[in-house]
Amino acid sequence: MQYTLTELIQKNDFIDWVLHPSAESNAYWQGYAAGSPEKKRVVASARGYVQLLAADTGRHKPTPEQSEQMWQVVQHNMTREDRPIPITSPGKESQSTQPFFIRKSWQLAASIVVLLAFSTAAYRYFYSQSDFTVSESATTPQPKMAARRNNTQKPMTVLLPDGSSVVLLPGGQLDYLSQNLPGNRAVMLSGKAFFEIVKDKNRPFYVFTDGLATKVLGTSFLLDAPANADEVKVEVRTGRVLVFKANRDQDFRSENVAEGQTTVLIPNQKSAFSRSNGQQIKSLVLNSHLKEVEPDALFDQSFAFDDTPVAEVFDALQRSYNIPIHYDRALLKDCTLNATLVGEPFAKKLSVICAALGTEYKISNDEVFVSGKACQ
Amino acid sequence: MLRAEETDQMLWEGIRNGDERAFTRTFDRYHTTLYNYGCKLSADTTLVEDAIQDVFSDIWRLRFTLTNQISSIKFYLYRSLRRRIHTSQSRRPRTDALSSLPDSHLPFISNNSEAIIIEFESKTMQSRRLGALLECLPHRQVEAITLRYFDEFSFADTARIMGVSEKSVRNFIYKALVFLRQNQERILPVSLFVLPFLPF
Repeated sequence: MQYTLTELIQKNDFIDWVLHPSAESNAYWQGYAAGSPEKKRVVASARGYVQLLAADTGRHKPTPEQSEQMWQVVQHNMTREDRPIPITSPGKESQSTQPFFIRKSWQLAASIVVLLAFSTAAYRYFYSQSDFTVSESATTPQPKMAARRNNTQKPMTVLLPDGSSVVLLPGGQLDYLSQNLPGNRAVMLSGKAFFEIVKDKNRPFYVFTDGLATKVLGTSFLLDAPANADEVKVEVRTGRVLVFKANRDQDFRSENVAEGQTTVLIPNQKSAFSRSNGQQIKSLVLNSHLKEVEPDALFDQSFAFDDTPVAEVFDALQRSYNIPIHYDRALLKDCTLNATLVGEPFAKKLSVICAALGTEYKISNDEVFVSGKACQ
Repeated sequence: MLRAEETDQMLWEGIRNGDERAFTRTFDRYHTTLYNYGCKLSADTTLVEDAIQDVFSDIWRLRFTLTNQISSIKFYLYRSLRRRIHTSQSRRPRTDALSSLPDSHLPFISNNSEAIIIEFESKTMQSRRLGALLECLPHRQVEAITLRYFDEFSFADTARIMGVSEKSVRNFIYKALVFLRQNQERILPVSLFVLPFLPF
């Protein structure tokens, strides 16, 4: 009895043997292959095919961010569903209700903002009065708003729910959603901040700065948008950044963003834009000491480590992000690191470092706790 | 760990009784391979993610009405995902480019599959070439191969998931193999003895 190549590849017990060999199946197929050089050749070939087919059709894996995002949506739906269960046509119902509800209340929110006036003060006032929208759709948990203002003299890092990090310089304020929901990612900035955004091709990240918007898919850049000036400065570190004029009353949580004419900025390019007309005022590609935006520790920090002791690595991170990192100095004293972490958000940098060290970390109340074992 | 891993049957029982932990474990166990399968049905990863969310959300929402007559959670999940993706494909007009930037503007962003292909390339040239060839195959052939060789469903279950006869499944795979052999007779001989079992 002799199998052809295609017969073997489609034979159940052969596939089982290739994917999950056991002593018994090894004995069987090796015995078969020993029958003749031709059989041996065909078995080897068929085995190669099965392995490649299995490996190659399993290449699509969600990123950890995608997994997290999917789970968050499912969880969100779980809490929402704790009420009597409609039995009718289950498939269709859950698909559109949630985004619909949220969009509806957001549009409502947007129109109220328009009524109140366009100033930031009015905007804030609205949020202190937000009970209204909550009761409007009591069964739908509202995306929670969060705002951070840096009243200190040092940089302050805001960790966004999608894993991106924003280093807010003194005097800056960032408004964002405290939950990672599907759809666009967006924040509102007043002042100066350095952004390191997690890549997500399908979910653009917008920064609204009162009249001007910046759009990226995943990159790092510095934005300087002082509250009372017409000029907004953008400086790109990695990746590309798109800038366009936005409506002053744009609700940053809305899915509808009207993008006018956009300007594309490339790495090391810095530009100034006018809020009033969205035009680029000046632009230059950095190569020398021409610095209009004063250097910031983080922005200039390369995060390239070459056999660097871990203590120095953590020190550099603590200094740049101003986030305390707790770890066992004695335990990790012999550990060194080789890595280049330019443009990655804080959490990503940490996870790369910890993966390299074989340690774990957790972030709690904006402090990092590293646990783990000594290096060999 | 002291506790033996829960069987699918136990997880299903747990979900039917409203046990959130069992539900979480089920999501952890299957969402990755479901995503992989979904990507064979649609190139739109957002649509795939949405469909996976819906499949799981529905299970939780309908947990108290789920049947205990289930042969395999995995089978149930795959079949639900397939239906879900096909319904949304027919409903959603193909305007996915609307909100995303044209890729030509953003050459620095490589999409996931590209990155993975590159990673593979350094491991085995063969795999890369096979990957390129697989992309030339009709979708249903790739789908059948995925279900049979990666997800390791039997030919019978593969057929039930795809809603065709077992004979058709064998036919899809046979045709794919003929195509692959015609086009890459060369890829295997070198690799035969070099290739260890590929991890997956």
